[in-house]
Amino acid sequence: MSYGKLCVAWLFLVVLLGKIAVCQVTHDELIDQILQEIAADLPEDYDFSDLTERLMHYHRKPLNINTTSREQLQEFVFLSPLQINAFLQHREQNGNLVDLMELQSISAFDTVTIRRLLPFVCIGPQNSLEGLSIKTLFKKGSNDLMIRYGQYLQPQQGYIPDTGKDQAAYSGGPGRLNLRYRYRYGENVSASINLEKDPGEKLFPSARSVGLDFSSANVFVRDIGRIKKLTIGDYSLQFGQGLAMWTGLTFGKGSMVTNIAKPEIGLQPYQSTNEHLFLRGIAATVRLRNIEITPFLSFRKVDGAVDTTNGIFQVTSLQQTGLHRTRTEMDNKHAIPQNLVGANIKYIRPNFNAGITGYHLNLGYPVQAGQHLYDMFDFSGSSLYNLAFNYGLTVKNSYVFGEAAYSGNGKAAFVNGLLSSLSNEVSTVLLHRHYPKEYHSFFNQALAESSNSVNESGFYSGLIIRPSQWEISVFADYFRFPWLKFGIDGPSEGHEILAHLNYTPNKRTNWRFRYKTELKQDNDAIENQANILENVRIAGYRFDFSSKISRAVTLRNRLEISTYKRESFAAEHGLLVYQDLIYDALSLPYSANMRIAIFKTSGFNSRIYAYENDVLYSYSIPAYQNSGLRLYLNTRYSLSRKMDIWMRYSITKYKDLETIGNGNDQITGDHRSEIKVQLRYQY
Amino acid sequence: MKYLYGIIFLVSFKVNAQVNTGARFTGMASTGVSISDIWSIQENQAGIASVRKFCIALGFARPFTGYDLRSHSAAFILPVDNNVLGVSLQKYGTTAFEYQRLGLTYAKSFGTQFFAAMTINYHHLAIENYGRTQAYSIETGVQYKKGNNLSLGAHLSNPGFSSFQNDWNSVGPTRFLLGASYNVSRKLLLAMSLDKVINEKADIKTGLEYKIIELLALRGGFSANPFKQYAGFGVNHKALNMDVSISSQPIVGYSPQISLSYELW
Repeated sequence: MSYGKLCVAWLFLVVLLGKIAVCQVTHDELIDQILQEIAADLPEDYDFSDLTERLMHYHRKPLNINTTSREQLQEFVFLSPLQINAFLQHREQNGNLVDLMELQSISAFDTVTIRRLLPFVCIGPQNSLEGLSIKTLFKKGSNDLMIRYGQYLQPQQGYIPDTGKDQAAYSGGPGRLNLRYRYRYGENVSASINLEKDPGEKLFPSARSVGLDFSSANVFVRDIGRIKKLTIGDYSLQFGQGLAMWTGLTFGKGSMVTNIAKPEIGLQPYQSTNEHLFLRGIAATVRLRNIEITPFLSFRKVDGAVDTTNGIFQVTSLQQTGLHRTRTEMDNKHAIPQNLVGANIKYIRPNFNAGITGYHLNLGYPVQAGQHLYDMFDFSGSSLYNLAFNYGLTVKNSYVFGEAAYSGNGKAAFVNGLLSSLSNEVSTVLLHRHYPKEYHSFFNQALAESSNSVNESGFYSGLIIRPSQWEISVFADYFRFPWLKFGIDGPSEGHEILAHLNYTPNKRTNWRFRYKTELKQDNDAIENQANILENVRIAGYRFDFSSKISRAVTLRNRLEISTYKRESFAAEHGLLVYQDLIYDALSLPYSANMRIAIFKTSGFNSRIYAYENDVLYSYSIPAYQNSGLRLYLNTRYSLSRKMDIWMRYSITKYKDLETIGNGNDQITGDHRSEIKVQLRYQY
Repeated sequence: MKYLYGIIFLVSFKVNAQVNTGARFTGMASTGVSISDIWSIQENQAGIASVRKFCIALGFARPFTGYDLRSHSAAFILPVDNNVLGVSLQKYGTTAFEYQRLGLTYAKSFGTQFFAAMTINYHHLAIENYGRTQAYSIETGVQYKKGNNLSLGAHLSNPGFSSFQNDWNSVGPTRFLLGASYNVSRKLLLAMSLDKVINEKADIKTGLEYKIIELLALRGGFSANPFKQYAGFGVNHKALNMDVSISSQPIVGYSPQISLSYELW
């Protein structure tokens, strides 16, 4: 059967099943939906389990809305700064909420937002540290221990020794192992340990220590006298709009348009397994009336290649992948000491906040100046100062925000924005950014088209319309790169447009449509010393439908079409169709979900990304490319009230492929399958 | 230099025909096809049928600053019972290259919901040391208002493929506009339009107008093909309106525009 016919048959099925929908939506699905929307624009392997974990936590133990702080509300990524302000103002003027439905009387809160927020909040008793002692900490705290193992079932090139050699390229086994421990006492005390080994890495890389390849731990305390927050161990800092200091999770241009105004959460314990952007040491936030001071210290070692020719130590490249599989990767591991000292001072009033962030970063060895035209303005040397000023101001129905940041070489970067609610249902966002090519910061995650927020200027405008059951968001972004980039031999520019429609006629049914188009410039395909730029247009149409057809069964469907057009070549197209089946009866100890997907793309360029369900806290957004079929089955079983087990099996079978992947990750054959097992013990 | 003007002229004709539709519509990404205003006379003439005042308007634009191009326009409308008569004048180009257009419009309202209009344009083009030529074309449009908030509009220009004599290019593209606008509240107007020039890819545009206070309106929007961003503001004091807009196109740069309109009685 052709793809066209398949699609028609599938659409028919979708509409038919949609008609017989009955019954309530579970909140896990709501979390899923939120994640899907924001995750759509994250890199493929990004670990955003800390966000999932936070949402899951608040789902299990909802926040008391009458005592919740601005910062805690900011953790709900779907709330805009204007909504948070409106809520806090409402609470201050009218006193505590008696019923959650009172949220409807706040004009900034539309139906869609309230529906998203409800599972995570409640009206209940206040959290406090009263009566806290070492004994209660052990007795009343909650513990969560989890172990996860996963691996591809087919051998990859990197694990097979080359002929004539007795060692394979990868030093460790093909398994991915993750160990996670969390301790929580209410909202105020927590501790966490994360251990991880990526595929190809040695299980115990060092004879001297017991840790896995990536080991991370911290202790976090909130609200003891003047100390608002204190972290010892691994932590993350998020200040202003992310120009100078933003580690951990952040979101870029996605369908949640109000996310453009970054909610600065400040100090947080670091709980994810991304091995690059985090800090290790000690940090605290101290509160003095309207002022909060956050001093921080960090001492860690980062990955990179160090050249020692003639006894001179020089860093030739810094690495961010966190992978230590091959000889070179292992040599580069933790090769460069990185020390950081700094502070943030924040002034907070109900409708105004401003902050200053300053820090000094020191590397053990100097970084070599860029050797190419495109990287000649990159950071070089061994130390860097950064100083930044950020502000946020609410005036009537508008929130104005921004940041100006200076790096030690005297270059300044700016980002300024406006979020305005024009009526109860309509909001608009405008953001202007200017990041010079010489601006340097190791922790820069401000909104940008590129992965680094340097060498870029742009103007973003977005609109969100939320009439009761609908959510329509549109944005247009124009960007310019005044200097060359890797693989782009000239100043270039482009734009991106996204339109997203979300229709929820009732609690069980959800329709979504997304159109995205992007125009960029890239080197032409002619082999040359320097290339001429040509336009590349990428566009995608996505159609989603999900429906809860019985108390336990949800169906989710997607049809996505992608196109990729390079000026001097014919257009490439891609198609993805999938059917998800989710089974989750609250009364039963097991649940499961599965997907069958058919995809056909002209190749890598027209690949299509799609979010997949995974074992708890683990999410994946793989790219579907070439032609084939993908299937996964994901199951959970509660062995007891305290113990759960998850298992996941996935397989992709390609048509007309003899090998999958390339280099050390290559698999011989036309299919690739993966298995994951996860065990959790809560006590 | 003349060649350059020629190229700009052709390029810009291809893109937008350089009809100056007033800074109010331009500030909203030229999404005026379903909106009623004196400047509808340049965008969708059916829009003047619901303007019940004798108005006069003047506009000035600099398409792509840096190229020495100018665009002047003027419009008058006169309501007579259910009919509205309109005259529009447009001058575009440089001293060496001058394009002029005179339009006569007849618009009629059928009840309070449906409006239609027809325009006859006279086009005149003069290029220094080269010659001059002239031509006629027509335009027609309709608007439909549903309730107080929703309005739909459609417009067709140059359906007869009129062109200047010999091989001087057409007087303007054969072009179809379709749009909708919605008054979300008394302060906020959202608009969208689809713009299809024959033999070219369709353009989709979206814009909004927000009245911060009765006196001052802010506008913005963007179009997808070609990608353009727009912004503007309008000051309204009694019978006098002043609108300013700027549009930005990545390749040719910024185009500022100012327009005035006055309701005589």
